[in-house]
Amino acid sequence: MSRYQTHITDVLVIGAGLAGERVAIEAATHGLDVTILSLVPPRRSHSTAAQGGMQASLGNCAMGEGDNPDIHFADTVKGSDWGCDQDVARLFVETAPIAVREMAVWGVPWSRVVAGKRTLPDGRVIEEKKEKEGLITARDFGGTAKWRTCYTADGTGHTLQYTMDSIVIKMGITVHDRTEAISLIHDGERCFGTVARCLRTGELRAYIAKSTVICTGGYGRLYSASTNAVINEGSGMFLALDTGVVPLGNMEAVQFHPTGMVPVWILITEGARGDGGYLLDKNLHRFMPDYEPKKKELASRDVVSRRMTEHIRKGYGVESPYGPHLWLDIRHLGAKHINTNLREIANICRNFAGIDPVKDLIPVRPTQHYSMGGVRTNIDGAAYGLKGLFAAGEAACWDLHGFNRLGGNSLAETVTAGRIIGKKVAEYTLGASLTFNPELVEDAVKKQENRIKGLINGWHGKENVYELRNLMQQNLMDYVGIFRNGKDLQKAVSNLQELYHRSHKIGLRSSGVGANPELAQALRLPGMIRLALCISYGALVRTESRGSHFREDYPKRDDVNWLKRTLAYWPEGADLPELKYEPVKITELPPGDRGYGESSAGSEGGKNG
Amino acid sequence: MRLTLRVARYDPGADVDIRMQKYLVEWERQETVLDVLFKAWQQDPTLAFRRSCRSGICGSCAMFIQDGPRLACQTLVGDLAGDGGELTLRPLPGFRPLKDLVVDLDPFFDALKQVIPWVLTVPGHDGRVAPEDSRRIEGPATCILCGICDAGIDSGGNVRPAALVKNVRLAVDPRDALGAQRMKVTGLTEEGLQTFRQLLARICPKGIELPAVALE
Repeated sequence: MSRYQTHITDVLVIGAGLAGERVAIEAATHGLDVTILSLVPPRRSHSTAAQGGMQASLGNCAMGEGDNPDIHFADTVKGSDWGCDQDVARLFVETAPIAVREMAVWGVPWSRVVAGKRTLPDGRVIEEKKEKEGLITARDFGGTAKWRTCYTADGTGHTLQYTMDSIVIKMGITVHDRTEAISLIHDGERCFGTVARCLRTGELRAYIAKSTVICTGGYGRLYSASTNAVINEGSGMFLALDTGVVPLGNMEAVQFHPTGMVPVWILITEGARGDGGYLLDKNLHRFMPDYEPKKKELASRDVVSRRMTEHIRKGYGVESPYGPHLWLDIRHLGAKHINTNLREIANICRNFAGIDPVKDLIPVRPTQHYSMGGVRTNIDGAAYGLKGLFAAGEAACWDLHGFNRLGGNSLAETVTAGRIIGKKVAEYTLGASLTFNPELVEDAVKKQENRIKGLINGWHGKENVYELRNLMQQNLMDYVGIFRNGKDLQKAVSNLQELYHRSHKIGLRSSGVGANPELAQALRLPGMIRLALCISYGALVRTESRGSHFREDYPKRDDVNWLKRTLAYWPEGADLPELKYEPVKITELPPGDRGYGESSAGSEGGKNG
Repeated sequence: MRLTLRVARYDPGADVDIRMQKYLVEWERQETVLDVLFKAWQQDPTLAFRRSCRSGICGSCAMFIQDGPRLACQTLVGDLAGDGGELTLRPLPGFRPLKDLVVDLDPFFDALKQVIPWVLTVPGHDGRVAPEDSRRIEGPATCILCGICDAGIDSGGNVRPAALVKNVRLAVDPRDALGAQRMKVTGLTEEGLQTFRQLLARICPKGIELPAVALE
């Protein structure tokens, strides 16, 4: 019999970012005992890095006047290229204004409406009304008909997370940080919690819960260049996939943010363009109006990223040791605006690139940023396939974003979905009983113990975990990027399959004892490669272009054959996911033209022609 | 260019004290201390240090770099060393070392509780906040709890530096029921607060400027 600590709780939340903490607060409010596991202290979560803001149709500022959930809904569905579930989008847009105001009550210092006239960078004059002064204001973001993105300067994620965590502390919710869930305990029908590893001591623990909620964020670090934090390796997604019964939805939908700063790949917020910034090429020509006369720099992210890449391919990129890039120009916004409303990116430019955006151009290139795909759940956040398992936020495919997420809709999703799904988790948990088979737990822990022993002792081989990880990252980067084609995707799938087999033969170079990042990485890598295969294989099979998934050999959206969601399952012992499909829920807005981007109106067969 | 990285190593199971280990790394202009630490880590996967966002917002990578506490991710190597130079990295002073550059942050996070670290919302508040009030909160609200102020300066009062910053942020929030009364717990005089304000501006990696707050 193995020796390990066992913790029992009502609700186990994996991940302490905004979605996780919001779910935890909601469940605790219902009187439930909640435990949060997190890789880092909650205030170090990657939610803090979100800069620009969260969308909610408050309609307080002049350019947001007349806004309402209907307009937010239409923007979201068009942005998703009709890939989202419209019942989810409707629920979301109706709840987002409540969620924003709730965060204000809890203490978020939202930027406020200032009455008076001002001139925008493009010459338009707007006037904020006196009676709206002091209400929560909003800024412009891509793909939206109104100014709808609420913000606190450009550190919105940071202020939201700090406020949310202050409520977690206030409520006395248990947080076990520097603890990593490494497998789900389940019997194929119900989830009973997780086996976790303490990152400080290396000890294993069992967490038994009536309900388990995955809120682990995205998988940016599967790519070699990503705006994501180093900790974003998609762990919650592969834990769910590893059960064999829970599918991941639309994993081929990967967002590339137009403005990652070269060469450190730190995000420069969309707020920079929303506030009036331009994209320039090597001739300092503002090229976006040539491609997108209507939305210019503020088309949806997938469109802007493709246009930028297209422009670079035509030879208009600026050469650099890190490959060609374009320029982001915010100089005309003026020192005062840059140093207040965009101060976070002003600091980033100064500290990480030694440039001053008040007088210098910022080198940018589209960079991996967000995963629309994730653990497939229903509208209540309940994962397909296992009772008692839920997911929320970027880790989930709820599915609000379809094939492209609008800027400002992810922060909004974390707190809005957290609120909605937290309530559903509470309802489920209040009606559930704590029953579990001790042998099941014992076996689950033993299985992980054996994995660890195998890695430490090199029982299965001596493959270097970091070398395999770099190869995986390079394959996704080179073959599963912004522009995709069948030949490259097939190459990625074959290479990743080989890497997947090699990942079962990893042997550690260090001792593996105690706090050991090499062991932690070795435990994660096979799961990460499984995610990489879900992304590449899903992309290979989807012979159309939709949102962020763009196939050069199938450049049209194909609503006849592909108006459906990919569900990737991982059968035991397989080296490729099994793909199934389900219809997308269209309740209000039938597929049509997005109003920006390459003509996306439906065509049969997706083939060029 | 080349650089000798001198890194404090400490394994609580084997070492009685910190020992310095050297790593020879290549570096380029524009690279940060965190970038070269990653290179040292590739040579030696047993080296322990904290990092996450690598963009100056998560606060994980605070350490003592060369002559003062700094964030590794937003410190350019070239600002502290030249080609063939040396760079010394130690754990954050004033914190209990756990392993190599990793320190125990639990007492630091616990110290925040000295100041009731959440907004006690005024009952029935209508939700409006004057734009100038909102701007006053923004400065101290940019704190990333990296621990650099606690490691480098003294608050001069009853609460630790980061807790003091949090307290000022809450004291100037018009939605907070306690408001300026929160400052009583600090035991600071106007003069003491001004001294702290100046010390903080010099050391804080986010350049936080504390707004004026009434002391009574």
